Amino acid sequence: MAQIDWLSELPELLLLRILSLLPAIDVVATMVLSKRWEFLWMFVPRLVYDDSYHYLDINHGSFSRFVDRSLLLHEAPILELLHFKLGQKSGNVDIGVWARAVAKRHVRELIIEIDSSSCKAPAILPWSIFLSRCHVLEDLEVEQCENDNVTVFTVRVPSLKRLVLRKSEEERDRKDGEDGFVIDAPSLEYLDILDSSGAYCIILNNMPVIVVACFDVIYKHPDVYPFGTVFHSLVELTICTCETEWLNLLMCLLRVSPNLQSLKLEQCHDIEDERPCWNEPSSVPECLLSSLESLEWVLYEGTEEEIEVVAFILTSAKCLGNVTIYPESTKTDKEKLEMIKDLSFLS
Amino acid sequence: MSKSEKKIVLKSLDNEAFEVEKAVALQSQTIWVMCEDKCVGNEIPLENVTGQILAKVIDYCKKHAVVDGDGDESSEELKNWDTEFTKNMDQSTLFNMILAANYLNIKSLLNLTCQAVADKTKTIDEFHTFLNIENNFTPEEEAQICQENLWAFDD
Repeated sequence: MAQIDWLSELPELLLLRILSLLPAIDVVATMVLSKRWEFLWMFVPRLVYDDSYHYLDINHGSFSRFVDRSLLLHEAPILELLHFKLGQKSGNVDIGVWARAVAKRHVRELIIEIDSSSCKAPAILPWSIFLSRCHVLEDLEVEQCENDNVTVFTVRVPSLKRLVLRKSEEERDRKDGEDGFVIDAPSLEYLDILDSSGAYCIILNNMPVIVVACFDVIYKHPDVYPFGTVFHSLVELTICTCETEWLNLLMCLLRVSPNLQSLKLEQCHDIEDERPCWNEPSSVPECLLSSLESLEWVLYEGTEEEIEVVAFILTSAKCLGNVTIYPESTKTDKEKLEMIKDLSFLS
Repeated sequence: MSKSEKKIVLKSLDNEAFEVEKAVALQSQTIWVMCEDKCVGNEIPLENVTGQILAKVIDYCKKHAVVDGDGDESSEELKNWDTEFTKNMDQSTLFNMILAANYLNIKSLLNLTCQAVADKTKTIDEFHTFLNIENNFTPEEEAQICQENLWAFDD
């Protein structure tokens, strides 16, 4: 009895869907399966190049050539995903050339993973070429790991809407002021920065349409944004309360965010520095009068200045409908009761 | 009255009827659209799916409906269930499940079944044996393709 060639009976779209789940090397190899399959691989919308897969015996040159040729022959009008996993076999591949080649292909999602521990020399990413030539990039996440050679990371992308930057290593053998981010992305709607390395951050432009901004950073430079900036579109703000300066930063941001709706204060790190002193502001920020609707405080300690902040917001905010305060879990029931008493005087 | 409205009857290609909770059936976008249109009654004919395959699809939807509603059942447990579900399916069942998931537009089931095929076809030999793909190249043609594309087969 003749066996049925089940898979070949499937419509092309479903075949491509299955091929999308395989590593690029296996996808390309299907060209020898049968006549129907000879050109099918060229239309697979997701390509994953993993140099550790099936390449145990081959050298860096043939991996590089494989990527070059298969990208060159690839015909899909839109690449949903292009994923490079580069380890030992890749060495200093010119990922810039690949990135440029695929920028023309409307790649929706590009993931570049580099295993730096296995590279003899640090990988070089031509960010400036790559980012500034990409006029359609809307979403960028960068995680900088130890020992990379990037000092100043510049993001200059007019089309960018969402930016996530992660830089976490603490011990870096560099002088102050050598590391930093420079952001020039006027279309940003979502910005999330986590940086505990003390690098600086310069924002070169106004962000007229920013909606969500999360800063979890240690900055030695006081000017996070240019003087005179007004965040008209900022509606949701989270600030960490661990640094002495947090209170100043909070008051500054409240003054320049006239449409803020939701404020979250959260102690994300251990407190080592002095606590700030509360100074009654001379005027009430506009957002408290007209837009602030919710306040959330995580790891509230009930210190004097914290009570003052809550008191100030509760008494001056005109449309505040929702206040949630979570005390530290180490507090005893008695301490929590004291907190509630302190707060109840305010309402 | 209200009780019967919560149930729905799915009728397979070979006229097998399955009564299922509406919440279970509505995981299929196709059925969802049919119900929205209100051009069908409580009985929905599915002309592209046999009873044998539809029973399996319903098993899958039941499992996922309960878990989604519950929220507490671990995603780990669900993942294991999914793995077991496709583990011993033969080619023809898997193939028909892909077609059914595609026709009924159940995205998670389509992903699961496509992944199951991908997992079983890691090499070209596996492609040929598991999927019975008939090689209609002459040996000369095949040799020529390999020769022209040395970069792809250089190992």
